[in-house]
Amino acid sequence: MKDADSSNFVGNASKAIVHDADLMEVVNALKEAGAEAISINGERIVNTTSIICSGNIIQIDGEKVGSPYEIKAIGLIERLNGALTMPGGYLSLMENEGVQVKVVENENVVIPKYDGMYHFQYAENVE
Amino acid sequence: MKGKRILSISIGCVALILTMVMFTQFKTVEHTDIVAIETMRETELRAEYTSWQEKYQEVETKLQDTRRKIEEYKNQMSSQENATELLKQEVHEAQKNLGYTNVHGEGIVITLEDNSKAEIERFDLISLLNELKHAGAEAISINGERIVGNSDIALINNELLNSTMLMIHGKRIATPYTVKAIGDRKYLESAITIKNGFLDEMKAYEKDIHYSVEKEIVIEKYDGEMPLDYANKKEVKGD
Repeated sequence: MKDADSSNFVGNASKAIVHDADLMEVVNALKEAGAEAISINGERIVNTTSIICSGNIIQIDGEKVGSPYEIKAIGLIERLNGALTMPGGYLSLMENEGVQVKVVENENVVIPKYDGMYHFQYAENVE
Repeated sequence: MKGKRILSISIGCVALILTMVMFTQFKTVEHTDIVAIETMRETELRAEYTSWQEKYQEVETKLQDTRRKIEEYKNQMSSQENATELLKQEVHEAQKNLGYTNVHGEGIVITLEDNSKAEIERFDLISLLNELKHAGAEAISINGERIVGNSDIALINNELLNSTMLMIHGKRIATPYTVKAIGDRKYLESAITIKNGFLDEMKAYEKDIHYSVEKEIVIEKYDGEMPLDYANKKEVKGD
């Protein structure tokens, strides 16, 4: 990996809670900034991934993840960092809400592969 | 004689204390809702069990799939032509999973439209995509833009026109938003019509939303690129 950026993202329940919507926003912002691979607490985000709140935990593709949320993204460092931490960027917004946010720049981020499977039953290729 | 009496009195005392302790215990047990604890554990365990069972089945299917593939390769490797054909098929399958092929199948078509009272926001679409993916959508498009792994929905502020617009893959999308999803019709429908679900939420904000369940939808392929300039594959032993 040449350039990479990893965002540590810590939710503090006493002040503010990190919801599924927040994770979706951060993932969307990272993709907007050209992230090539993203994971949340070790769960790789692929095109079929869903992030759903269930009670006090969040499920990513059915795997339970809890606070603190560590979101890793690979891409151009400056762009990824800028997209999140610029004024009005989603992480700045969350920080204002009282969520503990930490962004760490790292030249060598390792993101694990997706360990689920694609098993399409309904979508067929158009000949 | 005296020693015997002291002994029996002390035994009596101990027995009395023991009985008292026993009754306290009985009372505590009566007060504790053992059934609740047991059922709680049971539901938790059951949930855990189901999730493991699902995982097991998933891995099982994967294994069978791989075995079948190995078998196919073994059978067809004899001739060069067949092998090429097989590889072609596999590439085609991978392209389908990534969103690089036109696909058709059953699913749902949802239309969201701005009205005088409320506008459709970026997060409405993100949230809808998430709900559909959770319900097992296999292919999704918004206004013809296929949603793939690196798709994002961007909100662009146009200061000159004092307006905002949404963009997917650098292309502007505008109201009405037509979201198509292929997957199990019933799952997809119930995922959005569930009480206090997406449909109810949109209606609560007086946003225009309609949906129709369809037997046959065609979703166009993604025609952009998925650049990997920064991510390099990491070689792990045993992979």
